Amino acid sequence: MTQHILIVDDSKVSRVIIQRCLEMIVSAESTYTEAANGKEALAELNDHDFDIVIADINMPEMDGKSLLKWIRASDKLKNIPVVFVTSTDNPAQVEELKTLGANAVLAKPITAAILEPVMERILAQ
Amino acid sequence: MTANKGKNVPEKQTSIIPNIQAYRNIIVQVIQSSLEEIGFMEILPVQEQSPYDESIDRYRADILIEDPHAGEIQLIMPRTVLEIIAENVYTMEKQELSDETLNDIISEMINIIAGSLMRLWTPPSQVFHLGLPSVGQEAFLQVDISKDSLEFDMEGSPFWLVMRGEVFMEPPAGN
Repeated sequence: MTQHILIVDDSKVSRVIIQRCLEMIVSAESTYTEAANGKEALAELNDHDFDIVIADINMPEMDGKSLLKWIRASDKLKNIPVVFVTSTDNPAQVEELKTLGANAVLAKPITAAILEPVMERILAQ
Repeated sequence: MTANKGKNVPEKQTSIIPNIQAYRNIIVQVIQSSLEEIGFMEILPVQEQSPYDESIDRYRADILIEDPHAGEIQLIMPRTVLEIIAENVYTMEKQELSDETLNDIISEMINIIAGSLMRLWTPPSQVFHLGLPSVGQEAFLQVDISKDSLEFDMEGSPFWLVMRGEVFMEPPAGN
């Protein structure tokens, strides 16, 4: 099944790494859109339909936590799965993000092996 | 001439900088696993600092640790090391790499390294916050503070890590 995936990270290199991992996991026909912060991501989410959002937390303009709150507060967007890939994860942070509605929180550096079971679980729902 | 070799500079002036050599093995493991896991080349610790070579074109990234305690981590990488990483991540040729791309790479590297280190230095029940990475000119290796850096080797090229601040005064929390 093809997916339309939104990758949100202020680092271009990080977006490339995440997309490379996803390309090993999801259908080859899947499409990717990039955003450099939460604000850009919200603009994309309002203009296009996405199957999943993969986001960093620590970003300028609007961070990942604020983006998640906006998504979960929106009638149109609230059911989109959101996976965080971040360098600032620890058990307390993961708990807080899950309480806010994150579907998964993964640590950088991300690999396809780490991302695959999470994507399978979320996309199967 | 180094900054604190004079007799009038008290030893305590550098006490805010922890002796990261004490945690050297732990830090080395973190750096190795952080960078090698994403497919980069083998990372090796270097026991003795290389002499300062001003002909090396270096890039520097800093990240502030804002919470639970103040601190700072600096990463200094020569262009050659960033080119190795770029080739692995982007599969880009050296001549295609802009300064912007190299700065983006070193920023992401310090982000990953700082997160990995803070996971060790923060109790699991405590959230930690990092600032956004900033990049700039490298000059620290010319001063005496460089003794507090750790040197690594990637494909025959050195790179350096500096950790400063009260957060690193204590041993890792043992996560």
